[in-house]
Amino acid sequence: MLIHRHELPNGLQVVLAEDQSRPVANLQIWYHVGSKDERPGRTGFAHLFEHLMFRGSRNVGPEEHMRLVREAGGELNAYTSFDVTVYWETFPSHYLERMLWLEADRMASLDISEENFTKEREVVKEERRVNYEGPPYGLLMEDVLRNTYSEYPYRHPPIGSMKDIDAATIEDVREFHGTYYTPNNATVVLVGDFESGRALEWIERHFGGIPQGIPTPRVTAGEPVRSAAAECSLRYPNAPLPAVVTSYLLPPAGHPDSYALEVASNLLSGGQSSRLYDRLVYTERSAVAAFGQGQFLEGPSFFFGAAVANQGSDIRALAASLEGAYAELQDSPAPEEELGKARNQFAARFVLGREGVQAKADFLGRCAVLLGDAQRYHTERERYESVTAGDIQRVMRQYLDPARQVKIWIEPGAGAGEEQ
Amino acid sequence: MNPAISTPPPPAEPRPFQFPRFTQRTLANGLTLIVVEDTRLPLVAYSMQMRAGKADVPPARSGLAWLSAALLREGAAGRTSQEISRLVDRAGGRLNSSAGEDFTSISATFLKQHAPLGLSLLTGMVRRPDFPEQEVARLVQQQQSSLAVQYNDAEYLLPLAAARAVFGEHPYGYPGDGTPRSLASLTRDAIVDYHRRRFKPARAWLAIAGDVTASEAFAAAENAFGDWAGVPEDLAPPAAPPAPRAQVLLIDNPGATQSHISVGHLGFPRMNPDFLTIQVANQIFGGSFNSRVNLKLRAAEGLTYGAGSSFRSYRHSGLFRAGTFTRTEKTAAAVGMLVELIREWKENPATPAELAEAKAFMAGSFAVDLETAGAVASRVLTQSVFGLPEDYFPNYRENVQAITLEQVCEAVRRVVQPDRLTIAVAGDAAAFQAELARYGPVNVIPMGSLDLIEPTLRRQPAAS
Repeated sequence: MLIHRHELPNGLQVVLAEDQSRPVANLQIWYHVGSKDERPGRTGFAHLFEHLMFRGSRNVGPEEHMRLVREAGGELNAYTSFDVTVYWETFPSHYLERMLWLEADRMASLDISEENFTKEREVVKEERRVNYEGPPYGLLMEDVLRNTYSEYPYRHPPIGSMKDIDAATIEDVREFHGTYYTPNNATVVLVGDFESGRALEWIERHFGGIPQGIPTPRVTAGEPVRSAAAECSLRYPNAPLPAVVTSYLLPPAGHPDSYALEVASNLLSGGQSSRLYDRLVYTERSAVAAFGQGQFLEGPSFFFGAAVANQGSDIRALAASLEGAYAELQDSPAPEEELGKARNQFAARFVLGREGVQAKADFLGRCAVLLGDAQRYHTERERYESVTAGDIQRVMRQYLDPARQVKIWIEPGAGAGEEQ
Repeated sequence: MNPAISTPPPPAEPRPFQFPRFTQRTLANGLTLIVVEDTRLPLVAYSMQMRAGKADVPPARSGLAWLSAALLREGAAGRTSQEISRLVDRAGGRLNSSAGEDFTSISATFLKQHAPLGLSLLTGMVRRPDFPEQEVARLVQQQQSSLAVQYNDAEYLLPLAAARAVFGEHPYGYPGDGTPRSLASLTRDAIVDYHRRRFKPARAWLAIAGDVTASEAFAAAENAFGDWAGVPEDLAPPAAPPAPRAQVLLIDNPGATQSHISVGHLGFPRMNPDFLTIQVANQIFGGSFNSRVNLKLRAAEGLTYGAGSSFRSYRHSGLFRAGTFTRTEKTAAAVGMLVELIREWKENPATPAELAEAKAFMAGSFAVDLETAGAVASRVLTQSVFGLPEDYFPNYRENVQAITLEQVCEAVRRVVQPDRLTIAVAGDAAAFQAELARYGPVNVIPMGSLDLIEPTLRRQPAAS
């Protein structure tokens, strides 16, 4: 897949990759702004803002965006992460110019009524209730982040708190759009059936007139190295099985050590023959679910390892077993056969996981925006393949240091609350 | 400033798109083979459909089809569960099995160089599963633990309770993954017996899609399944579900801040001639973000993060349901809106503009959804297992475009019954019970007492 890169005079980044095997294309606009960029008292705002991007711009009325994509036979959505907000459309390729026009119109201007803003805020509060507050263990990630980070704004998840969602105002919306939704903070990623020269002409026609914005503010906080292990217990009223969670700080995505840590995560959690599944779920039957994975973000990242106890199993013994699996990777090098298995799994993932134009664009956008170079689309695979058993042992010792661990016990029972 | 263009640019000339070619053949033993050649990527996807599912399981044994499917990879053809896991992971492949209303699906997706392994694992699972006693016990224990969690989750329980209320004692009404009580009754003998009766070549379809020629694929499949013998026994279809009637079922979860809501009634089987017309009509009513249901409850009222409707059609019957979730204090209002929208829909099923948009979306997105060989194979499997014409999907876009406003209106008026709705809500019942009584007789069941096998849906006191 040949990747073309361009930059418009207003700073807009463009990444194009043609694939004419089907009459389909996927367009993604990556805004380099996520929940970590929110100011204090406005957690959840980047995500609330994402919702508002569907409620009207200068030439596209509320709900019109969806209708214009749909009647073209297209599908669309958007998501907000810690680091980025991404809008995408997958559509029959002859509608490409319409999709570019739609995206350019809402980059150039938003037109949100106070009434629609208020309603959309209620929609987001329902989203928080249904996806986080209602489900058993639904608030686990929020608790893990709050206990893992002391300063870096990964301390809160993208959904934000109810209180902060309520506090957001329409003035915040205008300010946020002006600051972060600028061409110089955006990347257009386009994969599929088009001719690059023609696509670029259209991109220039529709995005070229949008004025460059201010230099985008970036997070300046750092996350201090943890000086001691920490432990706490939380009570979840609607989670009947005890669980244990461990977390550790990791280097950012794309760091040389991140590849060995991802391969280590694969040895721990990749498939039913992985160490944690085989040991905790299959052999011991002590857990209903067990995993340990690096979550690689643009800033200081984290390792999240957890096990949920099977009925009747002892949570302390389960925690010891979970940490025992980490210790084994620290104490002895992984056998060559197991490493070969991990390499094969990564190789297969690069084929089976990149079948359609959308999956290709997802990864291309990640390379261009978060790893800083679209061409890494072609070279990332080698970085996983070159990881050695020695690398894995070294990074496991360095980053999963018990002296810098955070451990959270989740206890079932009535009455939510925290015990330190 | 941006010299904005104020209207959407027109589309370019569409590129012609034909439904990708496929080859179909039936072996002497009745197994149907489907091949979709696609050399763009070095992978092969095998997908088998076996007519064995929830429909074949008596209510007290709920979970049997699910458990039998889940156990296929836990020991087969002399390989243990751990050996199968290691082989799959070492090749970086995917191996899955699951059971639905009428069919058990077994799929294997592997890189081309490991494709023979994928077929060998799938063949073992289908023809020679071992169902080891200790694996049965392990999976049942694990599922009991999972259910202990899910029985605290209103979002999991509500659609199950609603299905029971609509389908009555028809097998489609019972939870596919079992209940704490039904799982306890499942034995290895029952699983072996179910597999022996239901897994037969004449009720099986195998699709092979990807970087393989039709002749290679047929030869490999013939080699794997050609000597698979056995004739399936004829099972009488289950007794018909009860006729729709107005009723209100409340799953009471005191203190809940949000309610889950389902409003609907019995639908129709997959082979019903209204099927495609109603799918188009449902796009207008609740099948998309821009549907009447979502525009009203989400966009106009801000009551919910999601609201929609669906018509699910299986071999013997189906289900129409509109659903949403909202904060406790708005629950009665949201139910009222859904009921009112259903009433209005029957009176005014579609405007010409709505129908044009729905048809444009369904015809246009058809190519978008057919990007991969596996997606093509899955459409061909669907038409084959339900006995639809061989040109059903090849002519899908034309079939959609041919649907008229009159046909949509007639079909909606035939199918939708606003006076016979089953309304099911999980939430803090005290906040809305009185207001919902106007929709029919109310049955309130504390969430902790729900038993989806009992005719009353209420757990009986343990016998002393």
